[in-house]
Amino acid sequence: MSGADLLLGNRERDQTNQMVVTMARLVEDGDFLAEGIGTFLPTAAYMLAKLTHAPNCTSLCPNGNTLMPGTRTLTLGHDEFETIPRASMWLDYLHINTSTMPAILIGGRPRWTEFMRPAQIDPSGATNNVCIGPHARPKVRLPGSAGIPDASTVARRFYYYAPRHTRQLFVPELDFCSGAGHPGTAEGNPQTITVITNLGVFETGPDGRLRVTKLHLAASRAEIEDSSGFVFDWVPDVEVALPPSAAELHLLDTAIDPRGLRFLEALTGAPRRQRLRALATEDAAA
Amino acid sequence: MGQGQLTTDRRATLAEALAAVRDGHRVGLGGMTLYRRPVAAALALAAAGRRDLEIVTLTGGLETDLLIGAGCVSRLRSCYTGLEVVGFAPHFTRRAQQGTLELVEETEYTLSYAIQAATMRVPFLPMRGDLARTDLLSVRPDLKTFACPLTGATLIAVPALPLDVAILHAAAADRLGNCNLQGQLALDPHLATAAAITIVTAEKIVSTDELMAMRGGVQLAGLYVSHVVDRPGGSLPTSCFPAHRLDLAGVLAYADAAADGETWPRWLANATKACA
Repeated sequence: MSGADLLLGNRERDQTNQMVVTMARLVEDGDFLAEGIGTFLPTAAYMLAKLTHAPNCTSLCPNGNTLMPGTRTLTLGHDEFETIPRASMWLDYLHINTSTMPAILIGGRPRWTEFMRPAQIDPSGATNNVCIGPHARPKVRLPGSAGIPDASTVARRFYYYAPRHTRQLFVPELDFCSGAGHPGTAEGNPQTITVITNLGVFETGPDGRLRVTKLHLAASRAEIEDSSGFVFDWVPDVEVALPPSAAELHLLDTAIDPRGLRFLEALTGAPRRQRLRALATEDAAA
Repeated sequence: MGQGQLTTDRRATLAEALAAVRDGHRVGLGGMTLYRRPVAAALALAAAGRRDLEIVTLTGGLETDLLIGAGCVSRLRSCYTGLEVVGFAPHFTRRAQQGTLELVEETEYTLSYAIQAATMRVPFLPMRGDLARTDLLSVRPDLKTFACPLTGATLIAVPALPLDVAILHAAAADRLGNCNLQGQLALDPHLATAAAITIVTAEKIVSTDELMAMRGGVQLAGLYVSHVVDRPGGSLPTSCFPAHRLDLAGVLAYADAAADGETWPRWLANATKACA
């Protein structure tokens, strides 16, 4: 698919694919993979990991509230129809929040992997999904924090992703903290916070501050500094992340996401609405 | 509960059932964001001009946003309100930014604990104190911390949240109110046990034998259901597995109408007329 069909530049298209493979490579075989809803990048990454190096992972699919082994093709809001008939177990949100997640997050077994999408991130990796401006009278009301406050305060390791690396995203101070940052000491959680953006990978160091650990494609130091609201430390000899292989791209374009739903996450405003309309028209005709 | 109630026919019209909802009630809505939402029931509440409702929903979607847009809601408890891939929920966003909608900031855990505490008829359930590392407690003065009597650790008391009414849409029900939910279960079976009155709209009313043969069988016992309403398509444009897929074009049309002050009254009038 060309960038133009997706209403994206070719560089943004390539960055999006790079983010998916970077996330897939963070998945370990046997992981418990928690999906979001409409979070196409991590879901594509989970499917890619399952089809390559991590076939024994189980997905928690919120759309349908199911545990699901195996892989599926991404859909635009129709995941229930894929996951429910093939689920190994059917849960509700009380089970998930009082049994499944505490046993995994605090009990520590099996290994949990989930990628959340924040609206703001501060230098300690703390995040905000609640509001910009004061809570009682916000400038921008965001949809809400869902389970991020619950999970970020007890998990040892926490992942975020952000398809558009901007100064509005990486801010020196949050307007509201709904995701706990690194505690700044060797005690407390999370001990590692990793953020994957279109420009690179950012991970908390021993001092608890986010550092640049990997670059995506041709991102430069200047581009990262111009696009961030605070100054990152850099690990010595920052590597460029391994780009997607032809085989990985083929899996994404055929088995996992032939309609290119993952690219929706890189769009905003009118182009996103235009692309959604085109996809909805295809769905209605199907 | 007497045996008589186990065999009570609970079928009602939507208007008869919703007469139980009064201004100022705390109403729990079933389903999640764009999946198996009681949209027809929400439209009927809007048409009836209910006011000052407190809406409780794990994640609010189109049904919650339309109730806000129709002026029915004064307080909302949820941990997410939006239209997922379609974006922000227009009325929720506007009213929150105006400061004219009281939002009780929930998390997945706080709302789950609150509903479970109400079901257990205990004043609160203890939650680990870790949540204090976020700003949640600063906007939730009702979440009080206390020292665990066994370990001394700091815990949070999550108050019980009994509901006046729970409203769910089911994939199928029998005339006794037994429900097959399918799809997204969300907190639905637990809303019913935390509520004084539970109203179910169902895609279809079937025999108990037929219900038990469906995937998942009986997922909510009719014991907890006050009224069951035959309402095919009662979740549209949100999904109802396996009968209806999410109608994304319908959600996009809603989002456009709700974001526009001139189009909105027309959308609401047409939608309420269609479901009357």
